[in-house]
Amino acid sequence: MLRLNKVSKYYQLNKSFISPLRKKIKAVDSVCLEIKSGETLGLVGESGCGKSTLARIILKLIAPSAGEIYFQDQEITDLSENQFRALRQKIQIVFQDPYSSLSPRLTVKKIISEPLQAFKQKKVLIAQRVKELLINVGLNPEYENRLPHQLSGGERQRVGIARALATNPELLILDEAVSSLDLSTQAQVLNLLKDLQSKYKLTYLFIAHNLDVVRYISDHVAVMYKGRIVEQAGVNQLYENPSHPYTKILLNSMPSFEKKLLLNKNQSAILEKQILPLDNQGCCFYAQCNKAQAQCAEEKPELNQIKLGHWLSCFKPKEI
Amino acid sequence: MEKLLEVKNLTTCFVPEGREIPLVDNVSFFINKNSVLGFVGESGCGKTMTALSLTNLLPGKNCKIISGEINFKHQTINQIKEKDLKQIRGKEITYIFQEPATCLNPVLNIKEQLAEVARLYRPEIKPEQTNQFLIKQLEQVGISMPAEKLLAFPHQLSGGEKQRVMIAMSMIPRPALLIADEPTTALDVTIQAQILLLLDKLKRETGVAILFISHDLNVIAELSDYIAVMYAGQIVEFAQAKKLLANPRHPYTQGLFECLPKKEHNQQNKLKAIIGEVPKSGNFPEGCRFHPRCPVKFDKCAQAMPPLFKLNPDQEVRCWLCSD
Repeated sequence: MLRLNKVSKYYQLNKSFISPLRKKIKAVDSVCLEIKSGETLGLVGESGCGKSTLARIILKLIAPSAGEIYFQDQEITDLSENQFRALRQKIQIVFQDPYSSLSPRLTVKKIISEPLQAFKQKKVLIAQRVKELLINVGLNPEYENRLPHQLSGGERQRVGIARALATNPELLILDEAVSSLDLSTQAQVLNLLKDLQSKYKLTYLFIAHNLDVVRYISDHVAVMYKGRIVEQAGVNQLYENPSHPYTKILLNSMPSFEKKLLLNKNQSAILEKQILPLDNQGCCFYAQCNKAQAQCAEEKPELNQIKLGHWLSCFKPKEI
Repeated sequence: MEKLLEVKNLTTCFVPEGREIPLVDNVSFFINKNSVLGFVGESGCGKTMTALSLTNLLPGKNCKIISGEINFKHQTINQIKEKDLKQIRGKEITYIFQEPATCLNPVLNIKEQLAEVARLYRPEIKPEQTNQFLIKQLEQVGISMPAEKLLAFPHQLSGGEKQRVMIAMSMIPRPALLIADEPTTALDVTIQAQILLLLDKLKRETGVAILFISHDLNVIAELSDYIAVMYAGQIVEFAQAKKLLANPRHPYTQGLFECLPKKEHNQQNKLKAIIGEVPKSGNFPEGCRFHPRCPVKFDKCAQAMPPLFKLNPDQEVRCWLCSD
């Protein structure tokens, strides 16, 4: 469905008196990803690691600095806006905050029909489609005349999902779509997403920081750290046999009913974020890795397949 | 175990123009010395309002404690004068909040902000010793290079470091009770783990009791000795953590547990979600407030509000099913 080949996004810092050389920030650094049709890829990582930037690159909301993006075997990296327009219907996004992603001055009906109007559908069909979409996401069709402030958080997120589904997309990017919801509503929306996926054969890119939620919804999981994918594997493989030191720390940091965190104290001993030099040549994690060697500071490890379907970017997977 | 704080039938209302909208309704709980009470519930259930009621930090004139008793160290602190309360608030009972970034003053460096607290609540520390003392405090909360960080401004610190500074600040007066209101919600998982470990360490080393508020059941489970589950302004279950986690009795608590994605859930095995939405304050249903969403409700639930039934000395549940 979607393939990314060494996609990068660099931001240049302005020249300043102190640093006359232009420095680059690597927000996304040669990311390779593949999502198969009908599957869910979970993307996890801490805030600022480039998850959302990656989502925006796939949507072509920002242009990548390097690399290629293929959507259904068609390269879309250099398509002009006009050429890409037809494909836009097929890639949609649901945002994190249902409060700021819905215009407070539009009714639910207008919000959902906007993408349909943009693709020039007939008015009669639109009205019918809006009702159908509302039913599909589990809302009362009478809600179409309401304004966002008359809805609860969960209902708003359902409207956001309905809007994304309006154009019959094939790939749906869910950028922290359930993170701001209450626990009971979160479970409802997660189940809704699963139902919709099997009903419409949707492909999801599910971006989140909650590892339990990602485990529940994903088929494959990619772990991102400082702009790079450090590990990618099938969901059970990743959670049972994490191989990258960062993945291990992430999994060990999860609080749980069994008090795993407080019982194995030293395991989650990740240091405070150390700032890597911007021209860092080595592994993005070496400053915090307790198994780091000289090689790690000098060379970037490539993302290699260590087992069928298990990709890892680390020099010494076995010793760790 | 000796009780440090005991709250009896606390009711806090929002009272705009003569109306009374309960935000915290008839809440009773206690915190033992040097233990952690976890408050868990969804947004708008009254967790934060309960915490703010304790030292009368309620926002605006329209929020008032209507009835109830808050006993702290043998004093009923909701009935004493503001002047006396000031000796307790900020000194005996301190707070840390969710957003460390908004709690620190952006135009003062860390040293000035911490020194102010030390000057107010630790007068025995002489001005020339303050620097040394503050460095030690920062060390205690696990900040690396404390001497340099002391001179930093809040924007120069990471989110985790800011929260550590907040914790250091709240520990300077040597409080008996630390109220932590969603202290890790804005942080990454790895940083959250560090903060939880830090709070656990402080509890063991200084003997402070912690009221830990969170919407995340897993976080609450890690830290708490007792757990109070709140729903729609009321405590629906209050129990020793072990008992509650092993055997939740209120249908809402059970429902929350089932909403957590676990290992065994997969494509075929779906989550059991609680139906409906959390009611808004002022719009609570008659009878048991959970009954419209409850999978095991019966006639009585819609008619009368269940009291808290004591199942055993360490578990209280607000559900008619537990009445016998």
